[in-house]
Amino acid sequence: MKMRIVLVDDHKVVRDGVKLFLQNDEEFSIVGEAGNAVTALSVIQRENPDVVLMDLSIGEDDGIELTRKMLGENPDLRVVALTMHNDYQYVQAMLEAGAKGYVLKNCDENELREALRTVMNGDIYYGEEVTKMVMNNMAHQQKNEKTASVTFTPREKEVYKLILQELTNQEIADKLFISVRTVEVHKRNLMEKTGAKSSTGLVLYAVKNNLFDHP
Amino acid sequence: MGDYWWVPLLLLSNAIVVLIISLLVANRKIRRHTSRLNQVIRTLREQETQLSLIYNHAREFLGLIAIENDRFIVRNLPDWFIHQITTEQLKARDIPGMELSEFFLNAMKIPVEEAEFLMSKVRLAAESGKRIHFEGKNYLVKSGIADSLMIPVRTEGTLSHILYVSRDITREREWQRDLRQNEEKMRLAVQNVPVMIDAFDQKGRLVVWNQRCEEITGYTAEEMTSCENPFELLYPDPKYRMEVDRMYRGSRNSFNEETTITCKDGSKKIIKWVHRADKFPIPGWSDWGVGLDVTKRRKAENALREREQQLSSMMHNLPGMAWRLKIDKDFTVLFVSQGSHDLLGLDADEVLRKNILPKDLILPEYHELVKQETMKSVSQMQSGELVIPIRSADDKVKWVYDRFKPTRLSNNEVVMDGLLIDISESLENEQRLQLAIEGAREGMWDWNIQEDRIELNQYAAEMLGLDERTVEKASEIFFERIHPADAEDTREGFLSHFKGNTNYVEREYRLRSSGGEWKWILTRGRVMERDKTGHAIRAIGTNIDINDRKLTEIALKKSESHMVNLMANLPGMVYQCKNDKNWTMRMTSQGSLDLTGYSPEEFLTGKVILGEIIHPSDREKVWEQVQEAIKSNSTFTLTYRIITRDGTQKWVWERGTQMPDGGLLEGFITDITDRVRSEERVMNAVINTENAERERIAKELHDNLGQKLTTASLNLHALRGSNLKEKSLKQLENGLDCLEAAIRDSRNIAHNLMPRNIEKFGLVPAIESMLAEIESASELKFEFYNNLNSHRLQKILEVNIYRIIQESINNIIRHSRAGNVSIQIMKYSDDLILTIEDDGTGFDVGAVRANGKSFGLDSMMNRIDSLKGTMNIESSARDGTMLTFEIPLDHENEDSTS
Repeated sequence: MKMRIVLVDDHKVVRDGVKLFLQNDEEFSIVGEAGNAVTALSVIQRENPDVVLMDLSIGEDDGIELTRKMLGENPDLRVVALTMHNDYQYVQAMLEAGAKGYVLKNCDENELREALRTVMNGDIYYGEEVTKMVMNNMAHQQKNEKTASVTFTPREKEVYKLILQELTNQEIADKLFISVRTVEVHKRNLMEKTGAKSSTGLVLYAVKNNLFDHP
Repeated sequence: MGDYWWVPLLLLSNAIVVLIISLLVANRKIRRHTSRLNQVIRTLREQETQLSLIYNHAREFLGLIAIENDRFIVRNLPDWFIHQITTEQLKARDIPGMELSEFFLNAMKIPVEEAEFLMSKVRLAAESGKRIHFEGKNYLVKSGIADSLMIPVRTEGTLSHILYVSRDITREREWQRDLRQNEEKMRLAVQNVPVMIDAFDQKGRLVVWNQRCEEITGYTAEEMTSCENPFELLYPDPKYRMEVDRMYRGSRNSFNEETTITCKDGSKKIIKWVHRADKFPIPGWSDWGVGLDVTKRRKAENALREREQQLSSMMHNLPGMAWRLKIDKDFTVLFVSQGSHDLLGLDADEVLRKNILPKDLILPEYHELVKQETMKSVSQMQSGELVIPIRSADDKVKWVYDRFKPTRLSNNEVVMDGLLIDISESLENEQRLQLAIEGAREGMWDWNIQEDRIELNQYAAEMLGLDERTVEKASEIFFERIHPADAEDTREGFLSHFKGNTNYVEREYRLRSSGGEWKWILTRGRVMERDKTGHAIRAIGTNIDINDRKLTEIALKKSESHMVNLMANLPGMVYQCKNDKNWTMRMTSQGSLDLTGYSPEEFLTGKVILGEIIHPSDREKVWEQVQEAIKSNSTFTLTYRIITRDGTQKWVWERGTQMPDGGLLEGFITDITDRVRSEERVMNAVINTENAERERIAKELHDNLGQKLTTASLNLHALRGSNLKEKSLKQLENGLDCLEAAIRDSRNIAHNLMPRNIEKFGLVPAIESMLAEIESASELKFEFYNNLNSHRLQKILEVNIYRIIQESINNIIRHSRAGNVSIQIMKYSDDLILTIEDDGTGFDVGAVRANGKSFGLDSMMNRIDSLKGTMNIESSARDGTMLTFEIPLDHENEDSTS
């Protein structure tokens, strides 16, 4: 039995292209198409397809919202994003909405077929490019999460150490060859980060958190 | 019978012999006895002497206690005492013979313990045979303190009696206490008297250094007394110290010297020391003295002396002769300055010695005038002046200007001080001047008032536009030609002088010339002749053309008042200030009130400081821009924010310059908040439009072109499956590759035009995603910190911050060779700070800016300007580069656009 597919995309050329792509295929059959959210919902209700190929921006409508809505009505539906957006946030948002696959529009036919087959089997599919991007972002996020508490930039650390030595803003500026204003900016940021209200607060914070070996 | 006559004789002689013998024996006995008696008497006499001595000295009490068989028996007591203790039960006669302890307890009623104490003393005296001295309660009178002695008395070598001597010393002790207190008082007095007191002991060590000494010198008593040689502190200069040492070796009876001490703080003080130790010796102080700080007095004296010298030198060097006259019949000269030599041909002392009087000098016909004027001046106690002729010693007549002033001396006597200045020469000059006027370009007029005719010189006639030099009906013609606005005043000036109310007339007025235009004239004139009744007959004077001067003056005045008006009415604040970080105000126009809410007075008195009402983020920028302009000697134009009195923020525009002498700054500050706001609106509109356009293009690219390309790509991919020749297949693959590239490019271009994920997901995820992407494609490592907590900023702000970060990273990648970049976005209540730090090689900020080859920087500058923020770059090869962007958050617009 052929896999029953509905295309949701506001661009007719794309729908036509994809249809052309999967036409005469023994495996897949396009059973309906829609150019906006309302049509999409009625088509899907009518056809009850296996898979929906969903663009993320459908004219004025939001593909992510639409996905969430469809899956709310029909949790067994498999949605694959077919989009030009290759931003991590989109991928994340789409997967959160319940999509099972994410394929960029510049994929080749094999990738699309592969995606459809994979989600049909109940697995999740990203294209090669998307996978790489997701990995990068996750690595970066993990790093950020690890140091999520409070981090100081190298300059801030220098300034912080000199504050602990009870130097005045002017003295710190002279020592680091920066302007007093910059020192003030650093100090302000340090206080904001540590929640300190004064230089004394900064010292207390440093001691409490054992920031520097020799304060 | 006769034969036995010798028998009674024999018996008698025997008896005599026996008698003699017995007498002899008895005599020896008696002698022996007598010698013993004498010994006793001697002892008694000794004891008597002793006792009388004791009686004499012990005025208070004396008791004799006998020692009999180791018991102490009361023997003798003073009558007054016995009288005191006798009662009904205890008779006086019972007392001698009482046992001492019983006597103490029963007769004297001393408590047991204390009686035992007294007994112990008695026993001790008896046992030791020595005097026992003790002090204690006075039991005899039952109050006060007694000083007591138990004196053992020996009779024939054995201890027979104890004398109990007791003396009341209560008063003595009180005296001693008083004495001690007095001493203490003395010591305190010495410490605190408001004069310096110092004292030395026998070895010459300083032992007293009172509080006043401490105050004056700054050296504490401890410092001084612990010092080996305190003079080293007071007189650090060894030469002077030796001198002082020598001085101090003089007599202690009349020592009265001044020394200059050096205080602890290094200041010098003059102290007058008076030592009188020999006359008023104080035990323990071999030398003592009193010091008075006379520094001020000496200084005042010196200043006075200097002033006196100065005055007298001034007096003697005056251009003229000063003198002081007694107010008597002849005005006797009391003092005259050296100027007399030049003026009178007489030395000052000669004037006094010869008793030369003013009337000897002043020409006789002026005597009455001088006398009158002088007396008038004295009676009114007001200064006066005269011009009088005097005759000098070489018989020359000199005209002097005499200025005099009555002075009341401290003894209440009034004298006349005067100064005579020789003006003969200037008088001559004036006469010469008068002659010169004739030929000069001044108009002379000679007015015959009674005939109302004026004679004019050539110039005066020309000035009035008249051909003839004699004018009849002069007043009519003259006053007619005066400008109506000046006529009244000028006429009044002349009439008043003619009446004799003024010494001369001087008026400035506009006169219509023959050509019809107004010309400013200065007229000075004086009545030369008057008739017997005082009516003016003739006056002469000058007319000077002051038109040019006057016009300039008027123009100046006008422009000045114009300036003042201008300043007052300017929509802003004109200022003059010091070139310091406070911009200390020297002059502030009224406009400050409108601009800042603070009045000029508040600025001038420093109650409010311009430097402090400038927005903190702008202070540094303002300072730098002004200093830069001063350095290049150009005007500065600034735009910055101030915080006004009511706490609102205003945008101001300032233009100023340093005054030519290189000191104060002058300039003008005006409120451009509205302009900035409207500019901001325009700018925002422009940027919004631009963004909208970018967005549109991006969407177009992304959605239309991109989709079409994608579709093409999909379709072409489909071709690969069909049977194609190898060559065609290869062409197809090439085409597909190009298409892929085109899709990627269009997507990138679209993203660069408008990163759509910012709008949809916010600034922070967008940045994180950008950083992740760059990190994966380069060697750079990023730290990104923010305190936005998913708070969304204005869209325009988000886009610009995103772009600034993007451009900064581009620069870092291209130029810096940095390995690590820290990016921070810190949001505060009214501003936002973006910092980008890298550890790269840095660059010369000034050079890059000056070369203008900094598209990256320029574009960032434009962005930050559009947000009214500031950008600060600090860069060095050692520490890399740090960009700081401060962006004000505008709460007003936040809601409308976000």
